[in-house]
Amino acid sequence: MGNSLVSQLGFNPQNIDTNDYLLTLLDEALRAGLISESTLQELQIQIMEILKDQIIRYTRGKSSSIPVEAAQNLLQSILFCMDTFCLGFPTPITCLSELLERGMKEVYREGLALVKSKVNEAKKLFAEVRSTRIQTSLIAYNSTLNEAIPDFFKNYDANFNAHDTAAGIDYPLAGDDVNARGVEYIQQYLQKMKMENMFCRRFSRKEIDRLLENYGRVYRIRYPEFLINIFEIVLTNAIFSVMLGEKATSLTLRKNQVVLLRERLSGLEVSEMGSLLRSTIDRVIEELGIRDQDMIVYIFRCGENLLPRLINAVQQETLQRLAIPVMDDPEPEILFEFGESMNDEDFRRLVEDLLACADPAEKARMIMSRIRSLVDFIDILKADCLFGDEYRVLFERLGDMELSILARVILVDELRDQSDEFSFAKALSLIQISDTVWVNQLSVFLQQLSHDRQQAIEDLLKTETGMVI
Amino acid sequence: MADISRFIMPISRENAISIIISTNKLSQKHGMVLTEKDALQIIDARNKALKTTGRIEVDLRVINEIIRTFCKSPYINQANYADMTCELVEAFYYMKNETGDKIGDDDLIHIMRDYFDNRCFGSIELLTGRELEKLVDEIRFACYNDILDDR
Repeated sequence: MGNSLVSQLGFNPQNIDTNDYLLTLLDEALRAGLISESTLQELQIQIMEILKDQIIRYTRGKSSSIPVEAAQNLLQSILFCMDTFCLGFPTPITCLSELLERGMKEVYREGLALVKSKVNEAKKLFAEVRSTRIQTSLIAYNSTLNEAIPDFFKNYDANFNAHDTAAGIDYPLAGDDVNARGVEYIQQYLQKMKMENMFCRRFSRKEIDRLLENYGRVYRIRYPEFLINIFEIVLTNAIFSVMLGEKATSLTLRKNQVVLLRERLSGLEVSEMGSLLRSTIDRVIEELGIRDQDMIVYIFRCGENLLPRLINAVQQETLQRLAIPVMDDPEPEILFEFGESMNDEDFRRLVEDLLACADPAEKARMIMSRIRSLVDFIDILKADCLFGDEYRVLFERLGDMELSILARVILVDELRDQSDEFSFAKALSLIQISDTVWVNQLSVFLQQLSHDRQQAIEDLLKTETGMVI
Repeated sequence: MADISRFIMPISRENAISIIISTNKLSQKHGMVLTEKDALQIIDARNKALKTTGRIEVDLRVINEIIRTFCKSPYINQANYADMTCELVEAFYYMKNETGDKIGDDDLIHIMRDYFDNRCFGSIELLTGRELEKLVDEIRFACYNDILDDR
């Protein structure tokens, strides 16, 4: 089967889907006249025979019929193993001649053996990932390594469910391939995680921890509980550090450096920004002494993904949300949580202190530094210890997240009734005057916010996080 | 995702008829035989039942076993042989689904025969109603092994 013959017959490898390799290869071969209709039918009968054998094995010979869904699953598993065999060939044409020569049963047997050997390879890879793991308090990272991946190895069934990725992996990778299935998925996941670990090991734990803490402050989140990718955040700051003429290993950026960076970048054309980003990634790789080709390709791919966000951040003047600066003296934050209510004694003392204080800013500071729960916050608003403009001064200290949580309390009916087409601005304009002072004060405050902030709060109100709170 | 229907080839009718007719050797001893027309009627009932219950079957072993087991029942005679076989085939796949595939083919057919003769006195309606409900409950309470031991 020479190449010239193939091209004459119009065999088009583009028509082959890597996620459904065998069947799309056979269909394309039939279309191009490389196999006849009867050959295709014969191969399909051979696959059916494998399916029959698998049904008997699946039911341990006790049943000759199974529900269609179970049979469909077995078929997926068979085809996954056969695809694994096929993908080992350099070209579809060499694969096709091998298929015709060996027959489907042998292809399945070899594919299954390959899948099982990949599981063993993945186990070795997992040991390497574990030995290079990042010491972090990020829950998703730790639970993925401690529970999800071991569960995968415990539950993975190459015989009957080879295509299934039976693992509750939470930690998001910077360059995950979500189309991969079964052991292929785990293998690529572990390969990439190992590269991310190896990259992060070039930075001190203290630097990474500090960066993640600053990241949490910038986004007003408790970072250990969020699904964030450590490698991406570290790489991003390393890139900006090098852009500023600092060492790649220095992840600490000061606020004035970020301002300087934005000024420099805002003078560049989009194409210039792209070139600068690429040359900076090159310098980061060189400075960190990275020689592994796969790792270089991965870093480049993930680093280049930064470009649209970088352009947007420069244009929107939000670079400090991408290049994470040190938040030296963080404002006391309220991060509402359930289950952290104050005891009655502390609450009473706070009310007394607030009533004794006449300075609105000081009153706001007291509330922000002493209250941790939404319930306490609303109880304070209801406790008649704030007056007039003092509400505004307090609300001004709240971030979009906290305001969205309070907005959810006062707009609960609107959110429920118009879940699909909810408009924050519209809901505010229609809000009735309430008997409760703080509700009226909050409503007026929210209506006076800029369009951008209202939009940001609306987005939060529509997110799942918001719904859970 | 590959559609399973691409790989399911219908069983050849000639082959199916000859498998069913071959059971006459045994059933003749009990005074009953199936004709080719009966065999076709049973195959159609089986195909329809598989479709209705959303199941896929790899061979005709079940029909064969149902015929061999039930031709000895006192509630089946030549006059109702083909019709009863069709109904029992339909009942089998229905019960297979309802019991969540927890009972193997041979065991289920023997339980059906036991209940059919001794509890339902030849009523398939009672078999797929009252008795199946009890069976499902018993399975739920993990009494399946006891049922088999008692048989």
